[in-house]
Amino acid sequence: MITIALPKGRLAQETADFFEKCGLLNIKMEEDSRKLIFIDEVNNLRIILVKPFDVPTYVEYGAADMGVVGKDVIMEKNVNIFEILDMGIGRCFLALAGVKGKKEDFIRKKDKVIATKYPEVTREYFEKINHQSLKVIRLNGSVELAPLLGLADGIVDVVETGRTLKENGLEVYEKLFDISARLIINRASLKMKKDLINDIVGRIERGLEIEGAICPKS
Amino acid sequence: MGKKFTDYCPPGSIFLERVREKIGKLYGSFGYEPVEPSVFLDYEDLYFKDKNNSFKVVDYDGRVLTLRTEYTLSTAEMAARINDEGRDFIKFYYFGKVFRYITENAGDYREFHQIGIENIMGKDDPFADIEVIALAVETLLELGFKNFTVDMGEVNFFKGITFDYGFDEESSEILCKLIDKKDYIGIENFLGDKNIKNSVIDDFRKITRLYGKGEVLKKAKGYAKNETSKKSLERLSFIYEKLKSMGYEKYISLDLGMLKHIDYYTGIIFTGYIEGLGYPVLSGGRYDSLFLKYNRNLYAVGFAAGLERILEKAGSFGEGFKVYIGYDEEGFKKAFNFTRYINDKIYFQSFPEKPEDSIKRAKKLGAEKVYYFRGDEIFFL
Repeated sequence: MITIALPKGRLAQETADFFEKCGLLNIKMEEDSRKLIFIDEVNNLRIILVKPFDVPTYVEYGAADMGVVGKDVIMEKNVNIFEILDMGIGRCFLALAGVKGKKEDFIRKKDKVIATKYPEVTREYFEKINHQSLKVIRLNGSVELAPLLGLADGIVDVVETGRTLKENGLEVYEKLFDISARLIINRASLKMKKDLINDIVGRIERGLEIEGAICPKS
Repeated sequence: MGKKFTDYCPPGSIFLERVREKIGKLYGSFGYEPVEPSVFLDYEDLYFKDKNNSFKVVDYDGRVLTLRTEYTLSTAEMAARINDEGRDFIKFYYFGKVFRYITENAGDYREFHQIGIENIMGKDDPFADIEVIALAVETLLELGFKNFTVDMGEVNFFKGITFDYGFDEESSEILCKLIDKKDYIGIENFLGDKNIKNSVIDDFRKITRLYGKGEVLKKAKGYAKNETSKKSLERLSFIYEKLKSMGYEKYISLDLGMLKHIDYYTGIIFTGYIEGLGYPVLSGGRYDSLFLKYNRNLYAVGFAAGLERILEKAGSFGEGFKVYIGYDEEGFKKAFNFTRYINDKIYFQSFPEKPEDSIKRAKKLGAEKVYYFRGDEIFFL
């Protein structure tokens, strides 16, 4: 039995649909269900739904053999796992953003304050470009509020269409990293359940090839 | 430090005792002798990778001491001293606590027990590698595990390939981490920026797939184009085939993409995984460069296993009190001398009591046999 951790939300549904196309999964995961564990007896698979930032934790401990999670989360949490594939879904980017029209002010400001769900990534990025002084405040959600309430000068957050930023009067100051969902695997599981896992990874790879042929990367 | 410290009561503490006995016998039958280095080390002597992760103590003279994060450094120093006295075939084993300041990954402990062996010889011989890996397998078998694997790699396989392509140290290090993580796309992105041919990028990505059983050795031949890589692959094949012929095939596997601490290891590296645990229970390899540092003609291979992790999955060693001995005031002397005639695990009561109380207390401990001494008489209750 292989356990796969998926991040609650849209990515879980997208991944489940993709798995179905690959012939991996044969059960229905209703979107409005409160269930957290789904068992596919036919394919000997167990799917668990967890918070995105917890996917790497379950996989690192081996409670889940594999997981699908965004590269943003993997970058933030320094976990000991294999990052074996780019699933190609969940495409977005990590960006530095702030109040619309205030980019110049932001650049000129000393002692910047940045609010973010990704304090490690933020600190490392700004250290690399040698900022004078940076304070990072960790938030868990609705990060767009921070600059609007004066809690921070800017934010580092995931951006997809940019609509959330726009609707809250913010804009992207700088694009930091491209993000997509990755397939991660527990180190022990890869060695101890090699055949089962290789089979799953093989099917996903073939699915990605087919998908790549039908709809080339945007 | 966290407010919670780990204390060991039975049965955990008994498990540790049993492990100590078992490894003493196992390693002892190959000539390994126990060593007990000081728990302290000089901060300056540590490898960089261990400096940040050590507990530091400032001595009265201002010198910074650290608590050991592992045993190899201290045992190497002890070996060097023995070597001074003229011996160049040294076999140590150890059992004791190590201390790590930071616990950021799954399975990390701040204070835990390590067991391990160091095989230190006057020459670099693959047979020593074989002996040490076989002992790693035997260790896990002794501890009662049946489903596990000792996964082996060879650092020179990768080093030879990167040398061919002329990567600088920093790039090698980054590439190394990406391959160790099997980060297929990370490798593609990193090398893509460096104007490297697609076929080469593909080669490096394929190295991440070089894991499994014996078939890996055949597949790897295609990537070993220079002498270093070729030789390392031959050596690894020799070791693998020998272990297979000894009946260990079920317990070993290969991963040429395993590249942890390759600046420390100089040849074979291996990691042990047990069923049901998401992180390794043992790791080791050949580390000849350590003695180079001491300017000595010594070559070393060894491993360490973490008992706390093993304890997470180990069955109990089935220890409970089997016999209870109680007595009245006059019966004390005879009761005391009686213990030497019994082989089972005994609880000897420390004060005189009534027989009914002996029975009550024996029940609490789960001891089935109760001996009661009244004056000169023995009663079996």
